[in-house]
Order: sequence, then C-alpha cells, then structure tokens
Amino acid sequence: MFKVHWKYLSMALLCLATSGAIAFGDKGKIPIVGINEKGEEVTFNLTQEEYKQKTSAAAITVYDSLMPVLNKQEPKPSKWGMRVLGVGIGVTAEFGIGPVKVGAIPKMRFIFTNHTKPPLL
Amino acid sequence: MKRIFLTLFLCLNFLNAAIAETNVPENQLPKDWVMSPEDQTHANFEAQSLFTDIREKLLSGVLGRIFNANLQVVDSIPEQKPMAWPGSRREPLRDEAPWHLEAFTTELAVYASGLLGALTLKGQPAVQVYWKKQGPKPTPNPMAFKAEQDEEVLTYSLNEDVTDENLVRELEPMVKAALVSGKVKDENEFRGQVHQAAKEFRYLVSGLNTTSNTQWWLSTFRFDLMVGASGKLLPAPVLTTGGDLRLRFDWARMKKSVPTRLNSIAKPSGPYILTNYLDKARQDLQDFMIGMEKDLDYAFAKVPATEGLKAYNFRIALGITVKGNLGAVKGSASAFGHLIFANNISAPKTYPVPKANLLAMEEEVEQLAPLYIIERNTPEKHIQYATANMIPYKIDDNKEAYFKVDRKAFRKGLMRAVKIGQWFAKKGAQAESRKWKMYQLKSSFDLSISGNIEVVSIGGTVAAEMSFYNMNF
Repeated sequence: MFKVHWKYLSMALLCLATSGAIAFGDKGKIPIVGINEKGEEVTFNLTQEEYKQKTSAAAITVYDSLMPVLNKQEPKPSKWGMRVLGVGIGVTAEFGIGPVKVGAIPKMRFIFTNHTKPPLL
Repeated sequence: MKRIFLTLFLCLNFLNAAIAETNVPENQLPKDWVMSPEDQTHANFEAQSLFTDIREKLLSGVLGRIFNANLQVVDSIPEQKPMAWPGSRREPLRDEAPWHLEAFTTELAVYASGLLGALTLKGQPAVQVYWKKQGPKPTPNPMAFKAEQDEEVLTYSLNEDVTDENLVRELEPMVKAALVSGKVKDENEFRGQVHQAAKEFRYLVSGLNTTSNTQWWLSTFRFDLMVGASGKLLPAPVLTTGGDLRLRFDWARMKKSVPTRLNSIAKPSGPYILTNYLDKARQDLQDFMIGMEKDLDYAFAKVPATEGLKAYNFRIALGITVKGNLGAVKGSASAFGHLIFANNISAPKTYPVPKANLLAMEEEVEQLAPLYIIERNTPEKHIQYATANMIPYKIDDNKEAYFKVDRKAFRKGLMRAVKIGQWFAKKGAQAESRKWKMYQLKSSFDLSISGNIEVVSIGGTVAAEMSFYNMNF
C-alpha cells in the first residue's frame, strides 16, 4: 500500500520541482544584455555579488586613474576650458567558452566636473 | 488514501499553473511594449502583452536589483580628497569647485523578444537613468542631448540676429575643427557647403519662430550633417556606425515669438544640401511642430501624473523623402533633424485640465495637419499590414515608404509611451542610497506605422525620447 502512495507523491513532487527549477532558476540574479562585435545578442546572468564585484573594480580603476589627472589640470581663463568630463565603462569585453569571462561588465558612465552648477547631460 | 493523494496532486497542479505564470522570465516586458503590430509574430500576442501584477512585481524586482547594485558600487568608491585648492595660484573660474564625481548613469536595454537587462558592450539603451549626489536641486536643461559615445560632434548654435556676413565668420571655428579631423577632402568646397547648409537651416528655422500657447512647446530644432565618402555634406543618419564626423546646427526657440532678423529671412538660392523642397519642408516643419505640441498636451493631460515625477523633454526624429515628404522617421532613414519639445517646470504642480478642454483637444485633432512616418527599406510585412489595416502609404523609387498615421491612434501611442516612461521613472525614483538618488531618466522609443509607440530594442533606432525629472530629488 505504501509503495503505491509513494509513487503518486513522487510524481507530484517531481512536477513541482521541475516547475520550480524552471521558474526560479535565474531569479534573484541580474540579467545582462548586449551586442558583441559580430552583432550577436549576448545574454548572461550575474548574482548581485558578481555584478558588484566586476563593476566596482572597473569603477574604482576609472576614478583612481582620473582624479589625480583632473586635479592637476590648470584651466586657463578661457571659455574653452574643460569643465565636465564623461567617461564610460562596459564598452568592451572578452568572451570565451561559457557565458562570461572576466571583463564583461555592465555599462556605466561617470560624469566628473569642476563646476558648482554643471549642466545636466 | 487514493483520494487524498489525488486531491494533493490536483492542488499541486494548480500551484504548478501559478508557477507557470512566473515561468516567463522575470525580466520579460509585455510583448506590446516592444513589438509593433506590424512586426507581431506570435499567435498569443495579446496574452503575452498582459502586464499582470505578478509580472509587474517580478520586473520591479529586476530593476530594483540593477539600480541598487549600481548605487552600492558607486557608494563603495573611496573618494579622494582634492589637491590643494588652485585658487592660491590663480584666479578661480566662475562657479569653480574641486574636480569631483558629479553623476553617473545606468543603462538598460531590451531585446526584440522583450527581455530586459543591464546593457553591456554595444547596443541601443532603452532607458538611461542619471544618478546624482543628493544636495542642491539641479535645473533640468530642456535642450540637453547626449551625443553618441564614439562620435565627434561639432556644434553651431544659431544666433537669430546674425547677418549673412557674421554667419560666415561664426561658422569658421566649425570648419577649422572639421579640417583638423582629416575627413574633409576639399577645403573650399566644404566651406561653401557648410555656409549653404547653415543658410538653409536658418530658413527652415524662420518658419518655426512663432508663438506657442501650449504647455509643451518646441524648444530646440537640431539638424545633424555628416561628411559622406565623396566629401559631400549630407543629412546624417539617425544611427551611425561611429567614428563619423558630425556637424550639428542647433536653434533654441523662445516660447513666445520674438521679432528678430529671422522674420525677414529670404529663401537661399541653390544648389541645395538639406533638401530640394525647402519651401515645402519649412511649411511641413511648422505643421508638424503645431501638431506635436497639441498631441503632447493632450497625452499628458489624459495620463494621470505620477507623483514626484515630471516629464520635461520629448525628442522626435524627422525624416524627408527624396520627393520632399516630411514625417517622423522610423528605422535607418536619414534624419532631417530632431525636434525637442519642453514642458515648463518650475515649482512642481499638477496639470489639471477641465473636461471641457479635453473635449476641445479631441475635436481639434481633425483640423491638424496629417502625420506621416517614413521608413527606408520597408519590409514587405509592413506593407501588407498597412494594406490590411487601410493605412495610406506611398513608396518612392528608392524603397522609402511614407505612411499616413491616424492621429488619434498616435495620441493613444503617446499616452502609452507616457505610462511606460512613468513606470520606469517611478522605479528609478524608488531606488536610492546614502549619497545618490535618481534626478533624471530618459526612455527611448520606436514608432509604429499603426500610430503605436514601443520601447526601442537593443538593435533598433531611437525615433523618440522622453525625459523625466525627479521632483523629489
């Protein structure tokens, strides 16, 4: 008697588990989309930690590289002096076997300025 | 016992069905947000277009994760202290501050299938969120427009009172900068073309210099040109492959017409660069501007405003066929300029429109000039859709289709675009960190020949853009 009941329960649990796996497989992750050099759509998912880790590394690199250079600027009293600088990350990436290789990061653009009231971009 | 297990089995199947609803990827936008009716391929298109509560929650979750992750990334950047204030060595510039990170952006893109994600590598962003450090409230610039990342854009802002002689002088820095780029073959011919194009631009602008009584009003007319392979100056495509040299003419319009030299501008003589149908284009531009101002007023009056968010900018690309027919441009056709409309925002206030006014707006639509959409290399299925749905169209010899769009359908499309833009802006405004908050969001759209407006896909071309300002910044 128990063998028969176990069969029904197993079938029910199997259905539920399969649906759950499909439905919840990538949930909680961050989807990344883009087009590579060949014009192909590229999709992968990162956990929040992976996303932050990759993007932080690039963001800190940009910030640490640029700030000393910008601070050394000696703007001339001319209307053509640079007051706003926009820098993007996430434009290039490396791809190999597997969905993601180190280097593929979401696009962000950082806007630096030495103006108290810079225009919006 | 069998009955108990059978009941259990049925209950689990119901649960399975509920899960199946969420079997759709959580980052899936409703199909009709991204797919034009003329491109519809799915039999159950309408079912896939339902924006159920579950779908809305899942999408909100995805957006929340992307936004919060970006905010945490920037929060974690250790700020460098500025070097010794240079003021001790020289006079500070006006409004000078130490160099600092002022703002950053998050870009989202959408595949043609409707899957949304954070954008990497290349592709057209559908949504751009601008985050700023919390502090003094910024003033949105209705004329702000971000140039594409890898383009060189040389810009000339038209002075309405400029004489022909001064126009030539004012254009010289643009000509010189273009020569330095190395992309110009014949300097004298190029200079002549730039002068001719600027005079034609000024003539077109003279038709737009009228008084506007609407809430939404044309604030900028922008025309981009590029140097073709033959060295000739041409209207620039809406989307370029990058690395092209662009020349940009900008005109900022006063809301109320101010008498200037523009009012007595004579039509320049040819040969023409912008279009051979200069007089028709001038009139069509004016008609388009008047129609768009009224359509935007209507759309924003009908769609309830989202508290704390204010749309302040709407940009639309125009095209012109070789036979001189002007319309909103779809796809890869060359843009005959961009019209940028602004909404006056000072203090946040609602825009209550009495019902009587809405009715008047609805009735006046019949008196507005027709609205057209231009598409180059139109797919056959678009022609079939137009025929099946009795949308008038013409096709020029160079496979440029010119569709006449029902204005009422276009207004419905505008209202939907407003709702979609508001939805994204609301999600952006809900995310914040210790230091950063959303101050602006831009949502980009493509046009349908049915009058509908969809979120632009990652491989698509932006035909219209709507900007929102966070009034609670």
